[in-house]
Amino acid sequence: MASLRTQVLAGPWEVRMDLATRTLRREAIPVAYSGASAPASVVWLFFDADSAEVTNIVPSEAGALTHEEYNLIAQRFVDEVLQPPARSLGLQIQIGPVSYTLRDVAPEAVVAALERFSGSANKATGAGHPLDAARWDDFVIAAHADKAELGSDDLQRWLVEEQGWDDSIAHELAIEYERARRLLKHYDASRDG
Amino acid sequence: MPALVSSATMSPVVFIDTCTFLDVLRQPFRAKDPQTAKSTIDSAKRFLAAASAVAPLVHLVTAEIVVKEWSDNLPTVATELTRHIDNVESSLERLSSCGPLLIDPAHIFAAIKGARTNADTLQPLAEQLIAASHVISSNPAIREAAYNREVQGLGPAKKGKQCIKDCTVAETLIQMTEELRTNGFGGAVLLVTSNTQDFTDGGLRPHVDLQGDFTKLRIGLATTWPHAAHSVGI
Repeated sequence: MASLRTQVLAGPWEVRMDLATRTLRREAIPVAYSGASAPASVVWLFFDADSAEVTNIVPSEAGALTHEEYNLIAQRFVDEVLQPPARSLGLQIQIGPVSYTLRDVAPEAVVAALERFSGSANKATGAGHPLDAARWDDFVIAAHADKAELGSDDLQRWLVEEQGWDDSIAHELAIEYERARRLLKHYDASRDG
Repeated sequence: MPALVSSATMSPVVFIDTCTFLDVLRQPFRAKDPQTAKSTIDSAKRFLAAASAVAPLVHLVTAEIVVKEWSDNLPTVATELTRHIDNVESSLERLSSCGPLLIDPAHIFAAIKGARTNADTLQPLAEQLIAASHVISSNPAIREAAYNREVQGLGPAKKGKQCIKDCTVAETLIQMTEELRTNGFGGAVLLVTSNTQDFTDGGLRPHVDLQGDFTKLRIGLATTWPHAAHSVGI
């Protein structure tokens, strides 16, 4: 890791050690991205004894990067800053998936039930209409029956980012989902007990 | 730690985030129904009364950065509220002109005047809540912890986003509660934030990166004024 650190410090991207003058709880090198494809940002590379990881890429100005901008900076950081020393040092670089879908955290039947609900529901009223409510219940029951790992945070994010639901209604649905899963689990336990 | 809190009895300590103060003004145009709006304002008033009692039934606390964010956001939210009432008035006038039943302009005027009178009480209510709150100043330890949280992308920080304000709120709450617990305070500590995107797991639990501290320090979470009132029993 010491060799990697040395080579990153001497690498092609500007190192912003001025940003690391505050007491950091782990050793880190902040590296500046200043390309034209995304807003100026700082890539935070943290070091442990036998590994290093990019924990965050923070835009220099107030605001947020899009997922595409975040992934672009991460990929260029790997290609231009990490790959050359990693090759010479024999280090392995692992890149997380560019994106993950609901199918990574829920079986197909559960995703299909959710898509049926979201695709036909009135997005202004959530599960207010009886038919929407029935499709919502089908989804919750499917998630319970399959013991899906789908959490309320992923559900809310999917509803907002992929399906265009309003934040507040998506949040209410996420809470409803959490409550319903808890109730069904409790019901099962009470029957088993 | 502030004397107000260190000398507290077992009365709950309720830490209020910026969005929660702003929600007092947002209810007329954000609440999904009149009951939610009424319940929010009623709960906020109960908190004010409870915190202002000679022997406070609850201790309201907030962070220095929250007060600044409140000031920064107040003009926008106040304008939204005024614009909302203007829009309602225009809509009523348009509907009245569509017939067949003419709505008496005097009735429209009276209803809108009443709405404006009610709305005019909301900012003072929020300001009284802030005035009744003990404001915790930032310090190097809070700033350092918030910075670490942001650059490591730990919630409420988000990857690819500047989140130092939210991280400062979280670290102020954590540091305050650590000191309270160290000083033997065994009462309830509650965070009230409607910023569910950043502070919760999408449901009613804290963000996964906050759950460890919240569990260890026994910090509760509420996302609305009524939820908070129910949680602390006022």
